[in-house]
Amino acid sequence: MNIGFRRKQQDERVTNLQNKVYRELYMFVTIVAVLSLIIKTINDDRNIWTELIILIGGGVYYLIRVSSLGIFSDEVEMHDRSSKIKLNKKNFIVSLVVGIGFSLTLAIRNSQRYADSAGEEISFFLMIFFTCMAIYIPVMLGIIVVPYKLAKNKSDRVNDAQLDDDEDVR
Amino acid sequence: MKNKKLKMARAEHDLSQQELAKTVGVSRQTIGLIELGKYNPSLQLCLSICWVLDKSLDDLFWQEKKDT
Repeated sequence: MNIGFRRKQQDERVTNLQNKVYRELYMFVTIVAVLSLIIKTINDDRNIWTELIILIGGGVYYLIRVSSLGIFSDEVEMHDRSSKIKLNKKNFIVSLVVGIGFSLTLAIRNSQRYADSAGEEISFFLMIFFTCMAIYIPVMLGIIVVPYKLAKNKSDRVNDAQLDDDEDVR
Repeated sequence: MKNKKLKMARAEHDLSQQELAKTVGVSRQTIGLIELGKYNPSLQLCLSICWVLDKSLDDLFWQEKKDT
């Protein structure tokens, strides 16, 4: 006699379609959060924590889950196979571009706002630009590259553990 | 249950897990887990593997019915 809880039978087609709907739902929530963030920023509303928690929390949760399941390495492998630039290099470039772009925006905006003469504008621009680059490039590397490395290492370890009794890779 | 038939067929074609994975469009880990019996591939993936290795589904994936 089979005593205990029986696993509820599931139709994999239904499960796959449900997962697709959950993915769309997540995209929908993300888009709404981004739109809300933009509208609040334009209206100078400082109460943006809910949106930030949804956006950052969602990303962090995803990264932790995919690395603990070991599929992050697979995602990287599939990306690197089809893309000319490896994901590692791409993250590094994105960090640099975002860091420089952010520094440039702040330098232009603040030098125009606070300088009294053209000469002062240039000196303000250069000062703010290089100071911001010194701050934001390492910050962006910390936000993008370091979590990537940590997630990849964790995922590789999980993968190795899953394949530990596979003595022959070839 | 380990899929030794798949591993042998791959060895016959002198393909590494990485090479087979690349040909059928999955990660090396996926092929590794199928061979270890830790992942059930979809029918489409089974077919892709069979086409690459010139085998039938029966050759690679058929299992005798277990008495329950």
